[in-house]
Amino acid sequence: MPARSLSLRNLVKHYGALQRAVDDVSLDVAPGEFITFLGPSGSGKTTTLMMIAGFQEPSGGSINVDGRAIGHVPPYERNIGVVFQNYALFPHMSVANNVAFPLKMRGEAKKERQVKSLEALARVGLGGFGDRYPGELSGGQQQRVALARALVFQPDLILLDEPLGALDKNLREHMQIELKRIHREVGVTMIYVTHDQTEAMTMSDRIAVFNSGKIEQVGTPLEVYFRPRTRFAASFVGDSNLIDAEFAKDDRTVRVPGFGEFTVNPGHSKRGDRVNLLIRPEMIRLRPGKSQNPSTNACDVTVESIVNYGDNLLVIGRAGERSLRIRVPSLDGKSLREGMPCVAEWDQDSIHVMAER
Amino acid sequence: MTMSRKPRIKTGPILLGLPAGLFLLAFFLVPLGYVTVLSFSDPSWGIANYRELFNSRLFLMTLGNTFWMAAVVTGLSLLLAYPLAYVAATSKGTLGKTILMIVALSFWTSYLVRTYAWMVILGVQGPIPALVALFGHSPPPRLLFTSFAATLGMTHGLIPFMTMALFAVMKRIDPKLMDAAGSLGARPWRVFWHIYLPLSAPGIINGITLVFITCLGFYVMPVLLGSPREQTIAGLIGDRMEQILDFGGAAAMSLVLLAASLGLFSVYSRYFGMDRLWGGRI
Repeated sequence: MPARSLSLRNLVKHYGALQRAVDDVSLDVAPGEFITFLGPSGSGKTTTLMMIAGFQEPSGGSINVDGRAIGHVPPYERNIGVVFQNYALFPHMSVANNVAFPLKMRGEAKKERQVKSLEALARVGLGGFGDRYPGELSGGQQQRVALARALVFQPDLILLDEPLGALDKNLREHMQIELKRIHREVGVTMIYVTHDQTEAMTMSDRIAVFNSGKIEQVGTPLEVYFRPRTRFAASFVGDSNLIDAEFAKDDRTVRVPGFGEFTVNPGHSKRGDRVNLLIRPEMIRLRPGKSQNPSTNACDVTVESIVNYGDNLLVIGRAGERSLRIRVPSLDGKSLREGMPCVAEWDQDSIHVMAER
Repeated sequence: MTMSRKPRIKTGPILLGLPAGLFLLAFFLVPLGYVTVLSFSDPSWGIANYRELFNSRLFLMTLGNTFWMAAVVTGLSLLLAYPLAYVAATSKGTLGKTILMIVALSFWTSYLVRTYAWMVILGVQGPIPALVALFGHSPPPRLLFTSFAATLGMTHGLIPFMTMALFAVMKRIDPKLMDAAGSLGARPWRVFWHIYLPLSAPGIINGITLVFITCLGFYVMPVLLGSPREQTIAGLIGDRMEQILDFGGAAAMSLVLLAASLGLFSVYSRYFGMDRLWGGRI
């Protein structure tokens, strides 16, 4: 299947004068890429997707597929496949007819339609289901039919709007793997909308983090996780300790009220800059006892509470007014008890510095 | 599920249904039985009343006219109510609610009031003939006491039924399906033809059945607005009783009408299921 590029330039959607659902979004998606729009509800990710699909008219900006402007082309001429959260299968048509529908609309011969829809159904693992009706299928199966229907006409892009949102956890993980497999096999450019950061992390080539109508960051899952650009991106993706701090004397020492001084890798900051520090909970080590020689990048905490997740423990450690979230592998944390004094320490490399916003 | 428990007759539901059941028995089934007996016994025992009916050109023509008028009214109601129900079911703002409110208001207004309103509007002194006269049609055409007037009035009277029947089904059509069809390459009219129309078909069938059967027995509007020369069955039955005092003949006509309605209903019930008419599952 041909892979197309997508380019959004200064895309804007506003309702009325005040409400800006999408506020100046620009993005380039490479041919064959799997990109995820990640953000909370109301962040503009779905509205952006709906504008790409053509269900909503942009208030400004442009949408290009392989250099062709499609911002004002009606949806039925866009050649973009859409997979909806609630499947949107036609209940009065058999599975085979659902999948053949886009081919019928394109005037393909009946024979051709049959061959292609069978092929698409086999691709999503539903060979032999053609004669069933959508109402007779499980949620996961319906979602596969929706995917087959979106694939069968060789679309330029496939848009997926929270497609796994209605499925239970095990099925969701299974479908994530399936989707990735199909993406690999077919090679079509896919744009995936979700508010589930785990889903975004596991599936995407790149993630675009949306917040109040803007893209806060675009990057690979690891970039977004370890080097978030903003406080929002840091807090939305993964568990986090976000600490506001100030550069005290040079470009490597920050002062944190209540914690003392930390040493960070030198960057572009200078003395007096106010910043946000990110330390991921799993980067912090915890050992019972008290710190002997007070070093930077460690602090004394009291274990306030322990939450057992099976494979790991979430420990809330308190240091005066502040608290730290610490992830400890279950086996390492067996001896921890609430109220126990501990030392929390981390590597200098584990502190990520973000300009304050 | 296989359960080997003996079916037990539950008394609760029977008790709940008893008051209405008794009422219907006393005031509907008993009189109906009386009418049936009357049709075979007045003035003398036998099937003379029925034989006379089916030998009467007037009755057969009136019967045909009644069915024809019901068909026309049903068709017109569908044509007018479909777009109305569509807008009411798909508009997001207050427009949909406003439409439903107007339909309900019309629904709640007595037929008699609406009939007299039409008499005023279509009457010789009324605004419609005056308007026609304004365009040079002289003398103004006679609109009142024609089948046109009766058809118009009945269509007006039954549009709310049709609208409600359509709306109930349309409201449950997922609007995302139209978006999906569009994204799959269907132009708006093909979205309508392949998706919306088939999905709204249960509403169409409900509406048609409801309106057609109601039309067959409609009395007030055809009698007050319609032409005396092109009567409907209901009017003919009225005349039989009030003017000729032929109760046996009138009873026989009523039963023929009832049989026709039941026949239609059984076709509907057989192919589409009774429960759907009353808003059951689709």
